[in-house]
Amino acid sequence: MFITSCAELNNWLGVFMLGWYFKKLRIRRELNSQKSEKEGQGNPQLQPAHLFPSLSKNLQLMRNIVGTSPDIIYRLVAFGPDNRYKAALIFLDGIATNTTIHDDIIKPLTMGSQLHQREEIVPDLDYISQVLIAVGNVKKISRTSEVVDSFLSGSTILFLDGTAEALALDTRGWASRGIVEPQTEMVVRGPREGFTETLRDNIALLRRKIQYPGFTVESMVIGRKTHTQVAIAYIKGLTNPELIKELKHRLQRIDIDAVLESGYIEQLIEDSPLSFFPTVGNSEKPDKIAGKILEGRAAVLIDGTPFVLTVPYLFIEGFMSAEDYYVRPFYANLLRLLRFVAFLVSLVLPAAYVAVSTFHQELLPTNLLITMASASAGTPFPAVLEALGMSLVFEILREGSLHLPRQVGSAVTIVGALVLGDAVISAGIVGAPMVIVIATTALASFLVVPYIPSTTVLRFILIIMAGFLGGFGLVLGLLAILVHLCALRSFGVPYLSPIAPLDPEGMKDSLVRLPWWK
Amino acid sequence: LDYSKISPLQFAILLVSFLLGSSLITQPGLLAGRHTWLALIIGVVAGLLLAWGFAVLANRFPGKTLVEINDLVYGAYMGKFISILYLWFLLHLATLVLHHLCDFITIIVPHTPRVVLMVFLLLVCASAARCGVEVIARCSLILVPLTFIACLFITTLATPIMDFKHFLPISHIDVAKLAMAALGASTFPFAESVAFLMVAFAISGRAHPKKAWTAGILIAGAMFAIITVRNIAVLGPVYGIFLNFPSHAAVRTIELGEVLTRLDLLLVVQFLTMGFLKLSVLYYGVALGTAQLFKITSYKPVILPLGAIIVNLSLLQFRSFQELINFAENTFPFYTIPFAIIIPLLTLLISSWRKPPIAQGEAL
Repeated sequence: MFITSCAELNNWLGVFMLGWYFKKLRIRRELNSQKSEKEGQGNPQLQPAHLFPSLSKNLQLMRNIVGTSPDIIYRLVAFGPDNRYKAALIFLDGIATNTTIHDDIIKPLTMGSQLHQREEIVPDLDYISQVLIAVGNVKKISRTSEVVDSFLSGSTILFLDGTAEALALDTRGWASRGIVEPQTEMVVRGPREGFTETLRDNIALLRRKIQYPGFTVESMVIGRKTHTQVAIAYIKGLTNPELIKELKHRLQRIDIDAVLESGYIEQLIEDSPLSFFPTVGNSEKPDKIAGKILEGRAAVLIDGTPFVLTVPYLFIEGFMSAEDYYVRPFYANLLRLLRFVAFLVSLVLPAAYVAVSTFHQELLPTNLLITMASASAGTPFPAVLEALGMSLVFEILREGSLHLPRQVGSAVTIVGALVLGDAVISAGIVGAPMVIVIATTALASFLVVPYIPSTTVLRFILIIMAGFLGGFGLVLGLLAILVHLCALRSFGVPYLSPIAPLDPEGMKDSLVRLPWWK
Repeated sequence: LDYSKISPLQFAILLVSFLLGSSLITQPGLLAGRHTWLALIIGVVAGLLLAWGFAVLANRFPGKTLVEINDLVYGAYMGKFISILYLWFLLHLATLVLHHLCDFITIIVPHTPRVVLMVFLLLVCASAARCGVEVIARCSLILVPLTFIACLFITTLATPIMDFKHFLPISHIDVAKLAMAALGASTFPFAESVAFLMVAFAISGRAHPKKAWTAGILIAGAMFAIITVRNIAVLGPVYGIFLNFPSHAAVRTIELGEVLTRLDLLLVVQFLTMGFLKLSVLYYGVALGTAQLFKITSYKPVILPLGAIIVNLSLLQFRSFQELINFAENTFPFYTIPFAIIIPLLTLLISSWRKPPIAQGEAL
């Protein structure tokens, strides 16, 4: 009797409480089905899977697929005895290197073939690649899709009349930025080179730092329209194979039209996209990335961007700088401590000021209280609004000066500092202590660059919490952030490790960096 | 239901935060006045004895929560009944902690309605409980060391105003009062660690929880000892007679130059963080137990409804703080005894007598 009622109750509870979960699931399923319908429309146009044995037909095929844009060069070549063999080169002007095509492909084909014995020369791709042309990386391909892909990536395609195959000659080489010091991560001491936009150069930079046979790079292509090269770099035997498996799984699952920057990949592979905190790291500095790889992390390099991703990314990494390891430990530890303090200040200071000045004036020493009271006497707004407004103004200034040309940028600074900073106080609209607080917060936030987005958003939330509930609201907000941080994971690794959960081995390089000889 | 795993160390630290929870402010054994330290020692010893019992029970049914253990030992009907009693106990404990916390918080935000404080606090606890015991344990791993450091810091600053004459006369003991105080100390907070039978299932490996349980109680006991000695030495004869929050009163008297005059702020933060952890553990235990009782596949849907119950019960239960104190001092010790001593002891006896096969339990 009891059992039946219990089962009924269970049923009832299930229906009542899980109802909205089911609803949520249904919505998600509908969204998914819509998505798959959309995919069906994007089918590439019908085309034969393999090449034809006829040159003219192949050229026509290529014209149909890639068109006749001015940067697509169709070059007919005749070679062999009495120039009786016909071939065609197709390449992209500007992406394939012209000198290589002239000197190492066309010249040997046309002129070089005259030097050989007449009977030796046969219209055969193997013969051409082995004897005639002087290009290092040559691939024989016959599938249309392969031909198109390697053509678009910058290879020169050589068609030979009478053969249903083609040669893909690696002639990739385009104008690229040199290896310069990255603007985002300046160092006083340490290597000054930075990654560039070219994947090959970036892999080479890493390879030059880690000359170890286990250093492995695996490549894949992501992006239906951009066909972006993505490479995973790690050290075999050091990096956890499970991590590599999971990373590859997540990368293969990506289904997107375009990948223009590593941010696309980052947002598609991170553990909790809704979190304020990053769970994938990025850097422009090869020494930093090499260091992370040597710690057993995996790096994701994306063609077209100097920002290389590393996973897993832990909370503590935001407070580390490559320079911490290059300078002597006591100073490095002081800096690290400073960054922790700066992070807390940039997160809490305005909210704490609001809480104290609105709810808990009795907490201040009397002299300070008098100073503050006299400064903010006659200001029309409550502290919450002052803090929110000033923070907003600061964010506007920062965003404005960030993207403007340098000459105009200084104008922004002048307007911000002189007009807003000075005039606002002398006009008595905002109290001077509030300006000091916001300025200190702004300065402190610059010390921990990876968390600037996180602290900016959380600061506003904390200010509002402190405005509503005072110190209680502030502490509650911090506790909520702590709970969130404790629950976060990056590729299976708890975000707050090695502190929570405690890992004594990892603690050697966390809050402090122990000396190398330890 | 919850597959999270915690290490024995995390279990111990979580237990410390649980015990410090609401007792950080109203100390265990406060009734005994200047002999509070004695009541505290008795409380710790009693707590250790009880904890060993709990640990043996948890070790006999590894990976099982209290609700599942009850089902295995007492059978489906009786087990459910006892589980409901326990869930009520944990829920009631949570309402007490919430009420107590809010009473203290109203000191710093006196004009905010109590229900607002409770709802916001419980929302954060709900998010922690939702994430599971692993996350609560990780939070404790960060907050407990900070609390410990803050406690030592405050005590160090209090040394100039301590007067150890306040402990005298030692031999003049009011035995009845001391017995009542000792009972109070052993039930609140030490016997409350029976709630950790809802958490012990998550200890990773086959480690015996006895060591972790002992460590947790001893560390918490040591911190209580520091606090008790400090408060008696600072406050003297007033201690244990008029004051609702003796720690608060003691810390307020500390003055360091003209600047550090309000160290009680640190105390508020300590109390709030530890109380938050205690509340989260209880909340989690109740939610998990409820889900297991009704065989719901996830405990997450019951969290918010339970939160509503906790807030309402907490609001309705007492009209004033004095009522809470009265309940805590005179009723609570006896109210705890069946849950912390009689039923666990019975469970231990029956389980060693019946020796229920573990394999059968797996199917449940």
